[in-house]
Amino acid sequence: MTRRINLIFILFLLFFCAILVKLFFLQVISFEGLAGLAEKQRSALIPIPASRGRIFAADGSPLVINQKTYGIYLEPKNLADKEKVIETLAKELGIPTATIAAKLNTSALWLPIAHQVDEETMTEVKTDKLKGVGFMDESTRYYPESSMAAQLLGFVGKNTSGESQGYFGLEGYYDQQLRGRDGSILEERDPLGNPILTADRQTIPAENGRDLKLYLDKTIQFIAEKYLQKGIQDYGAKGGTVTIMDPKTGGILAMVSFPSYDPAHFGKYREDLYKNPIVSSSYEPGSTFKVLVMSSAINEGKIKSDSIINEEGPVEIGGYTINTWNQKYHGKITATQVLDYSSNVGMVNIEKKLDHDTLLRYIENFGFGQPTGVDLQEETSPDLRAKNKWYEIDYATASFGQGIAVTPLQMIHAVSTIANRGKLMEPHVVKEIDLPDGSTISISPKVVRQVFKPEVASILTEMMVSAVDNGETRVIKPAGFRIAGKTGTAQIPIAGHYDSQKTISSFVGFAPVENPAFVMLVTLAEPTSSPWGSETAAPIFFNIARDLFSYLGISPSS
Amino acid sequence: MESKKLTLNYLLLIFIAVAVVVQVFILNKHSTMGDQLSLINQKINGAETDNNYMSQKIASLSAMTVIADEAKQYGLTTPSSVLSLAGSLPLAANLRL
Repeated sequence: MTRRINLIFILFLLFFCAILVKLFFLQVISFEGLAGLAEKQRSALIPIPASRGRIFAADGSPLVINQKTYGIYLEPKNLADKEKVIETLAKELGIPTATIAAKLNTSALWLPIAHQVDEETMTEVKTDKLKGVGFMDESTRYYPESSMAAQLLGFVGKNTSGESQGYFGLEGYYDQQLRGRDGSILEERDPLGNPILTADRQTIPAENGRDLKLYLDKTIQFIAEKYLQKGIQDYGAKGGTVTIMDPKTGGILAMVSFPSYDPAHFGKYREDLYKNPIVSSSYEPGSTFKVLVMSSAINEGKIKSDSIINEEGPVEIGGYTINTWNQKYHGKITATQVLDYSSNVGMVNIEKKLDHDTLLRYIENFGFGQPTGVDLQEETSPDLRAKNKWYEIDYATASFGQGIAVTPLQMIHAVSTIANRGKLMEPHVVKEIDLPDGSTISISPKVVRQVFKPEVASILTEMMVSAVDNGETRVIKPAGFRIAGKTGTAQIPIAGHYDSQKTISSFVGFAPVENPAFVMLVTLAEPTSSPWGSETAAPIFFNIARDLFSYLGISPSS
Repeated sequence: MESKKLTLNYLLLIFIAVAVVVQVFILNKHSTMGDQLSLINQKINGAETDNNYMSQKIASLSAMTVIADEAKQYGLTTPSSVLSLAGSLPLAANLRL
């Protein structure tokens, strides 16, 4: 009897020891793993995605907002009827059945099937109540004005980690400001998936992206796009640009370039269209550059507007002959007439009066050879040749805008000094950054430097008015308005020589001259109807200017 | 004096018991109200989606191309000549009275 009792006691002792060992194993050795598993079972981490900042035009109307879309995913282990799911999703999402089937041939627990699905399609799929099909919230960019200012705005794509990232233009430049910071909620949930209110709840609020308010006026942008598109068709050009700036602030009122792309479907377009040519491509400015060399010479006191300049015939420099564009020579002419006739010979003679070092100093002071500092991601600047690589002929050709490469933005940036009493302003697209807490960061206009005296700006303005009134454009300018401007026709350098048939025609100017409201540059690439700026770019400029006078309420001065 | 102290102790015990019951009741009730919070969150999401959709619709309808097309349909055209109402100063303004 006692023996049996002892045996049972030993057995109980062994069981007790076994339980102790198991408890030790669970409570001590596996503690961390099991605690984590328990935490995972009852806790849920819900991400709160930050909403990307919006972009507004100067009048507060939206240019880029966010659209709620959905992602659709599959959980292969939970699929009840695989064939039915494949067929239904293929039909409703427009994805080939083979694509979905191929995706399902993996051991993954979670498979994304479609992104950026609109509300309507998502509802259709949801009503099918397919087991193993899940939905997640997503957000995509929506462009109410369609492709307006596409190259200025840029687009949002995915980076290598699969996160949204802004590329090019404003989206690229202000990506950090626009993207915000995601938040999360960590809460305990009951078996039905509902939150337990009495349990701990940790919330990290999402910080939405900052909104951008631009200088860009969408009416001016619309007008510029309309006339540029028509101009490209009418003159058979390969493309073109229009840049309109407020000379007093450096604010970009409009920036158009064609061909362009649709930022909502950027993947369907050639990659070379993504970059904004106004800030990333270079061209030789041709005669539009003459106003800058002229202002330098006047500011240095080398000439006056009525100084007599020799234009009696071609000029020989370093074995090269420089002619006038139409082979006509007017003998002794004033500096004002040099611009009226757009005389290359006259400009070479003016450059001779201005020593070479001074010319280079002014070229740098006008901002050439360095980025303008505009808030667009892809801005580049063609380098200026090193000082020891400038030969006599280079100074001569630079005086009439050949042999020097600039971006369209650098060109309008430099000319705006004439409209702004000699002050060079830093160009800016964004006027204000609105923070989610309601405060605003204003971006104040920034004066880069005073390039020349204010009185020189007045003299140059009158000379440019004369160039419009007495030059090739006199018959097409809007009557009653005083517009300062200059045409430009630059040959395109190809493989070390200039192609006489291919030109970039341009017109730069500002109005009204008494109190300039805008400075505008129009460029056309390889127009086929006529190579001349006066017959292609200038009409586009005046058409836009005519509408701007009406829109901005600018009265004729005579 | 002793019996008064005893009564106070009983009352205190009853109060603690009632408080515990109330706490258990409230915690229990709150613990099962998570579905209502989920419902409220769903409603907030729905309202946000509607709001988003509406602002998208308004933005689309006020787009320049839409306005330009509408204007064309109503027969509005670009003025061929600019008429300025803000020209020279009226005569009375120059009298310097």
